[in-house]
Amino acid sequence: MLYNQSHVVCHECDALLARVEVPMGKKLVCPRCNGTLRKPVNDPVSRGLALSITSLTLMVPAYFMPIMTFDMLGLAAVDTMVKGVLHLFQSGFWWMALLVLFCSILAPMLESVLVLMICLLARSNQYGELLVALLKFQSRIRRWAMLEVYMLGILVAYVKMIDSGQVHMGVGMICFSCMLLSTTLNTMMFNTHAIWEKVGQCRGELNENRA
Amino acid sequence: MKTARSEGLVLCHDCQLVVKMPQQHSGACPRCGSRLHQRIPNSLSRTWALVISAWVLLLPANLYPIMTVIYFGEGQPDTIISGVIRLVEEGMIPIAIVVFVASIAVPILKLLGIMLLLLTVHFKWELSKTECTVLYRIIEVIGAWSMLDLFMISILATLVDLGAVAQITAGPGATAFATVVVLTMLAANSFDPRLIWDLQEEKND
Repeated sequence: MLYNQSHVVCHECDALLARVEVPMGKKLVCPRCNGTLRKPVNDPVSRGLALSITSLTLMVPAYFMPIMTFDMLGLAAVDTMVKGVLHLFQSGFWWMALLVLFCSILAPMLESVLVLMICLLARSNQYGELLVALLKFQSRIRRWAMLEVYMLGILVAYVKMIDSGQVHMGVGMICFSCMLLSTTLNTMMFNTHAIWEKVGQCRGELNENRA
Repeated sequence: MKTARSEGLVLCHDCQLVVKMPQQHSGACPRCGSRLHQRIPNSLSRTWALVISAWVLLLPANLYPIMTVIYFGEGQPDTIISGVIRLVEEGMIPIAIVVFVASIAVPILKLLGIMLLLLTVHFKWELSKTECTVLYRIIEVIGAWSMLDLFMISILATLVDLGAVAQITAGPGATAFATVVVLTMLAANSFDPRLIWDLQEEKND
């Protein structure tokens, strides 16, 4: 435990550095490999809470409302994110359907739910086993959320179909864009270093009490 | 430069706590309970296995059609490459470039990049450590963008579902391609960038 108070280790090159206090708005960079080691944010818990509630609220219409509609010779079809997954399931591409489901719907949703729960627990000072499990889960699921790639997919599909018929963007598209904005901000700003340190302090106190 | 390993310390990969490495080979982090490892266990062989599997699956991913566009009962199956060529022929150059980068350039360059890192560690090549780390970071970031084609197919198949008039369906190549993307992402995650810097320590010893 003592080492953590005096030293920082770079996760990318294993360099051992003396720990310094990083002022808000500045970041600590590894002198050997230029990796970012610490980047403190102002009040990560409140920000995480606000942004994950925003994201989760927008997710419902973003997933179920029409992203685009396509008209051709009087026939029309509507695309929503959930329908996109169901369509693949129904045509037998279940592996692809699972992947699209996971990367565009489940992972972003889980990430926001996890950040929300972490922030709620941190707010009520419950730095116990549950919080530890949620923090670990959150760091593993983060890289599988690919909403920004999905956004590009929508744009490419739109441009591709624009000559073949009439394509209209739907309400879902507006909700999706806003949701993308809030989840991206959340991922960029949510920072678990401070929360982990609180967990350590609580554990340390527990051990001292036992001894 | 002092490293955690040379000082007998270890960084918990889950909670980033700096801990004194326990006497026995493995131990649990006192803060979060995760197992402590100096380096990702079997990083090289795991990464090799995933990279080789990805190369093998790139074949069906490129040989089988990933998408079929059917207008008035006439279907045109497209592989990844023929899809890009068709976009160029139709004059949609910017879209063609986007699809080419995401579906062809990124997966192949990513696999070549990981292989370069693996070979550097194996044969102790004297490449710039800083540049290798930059390469590793690029590989980590660009991985997800290969999913573009799959998301696009999912959108198009739903959007263009007009029965006999027009239909777009996915093809078996898409399944293989989806697996390639997952494998390359797992490969990037299982490579431990600290192995590159360990070469420098070994040289100094």
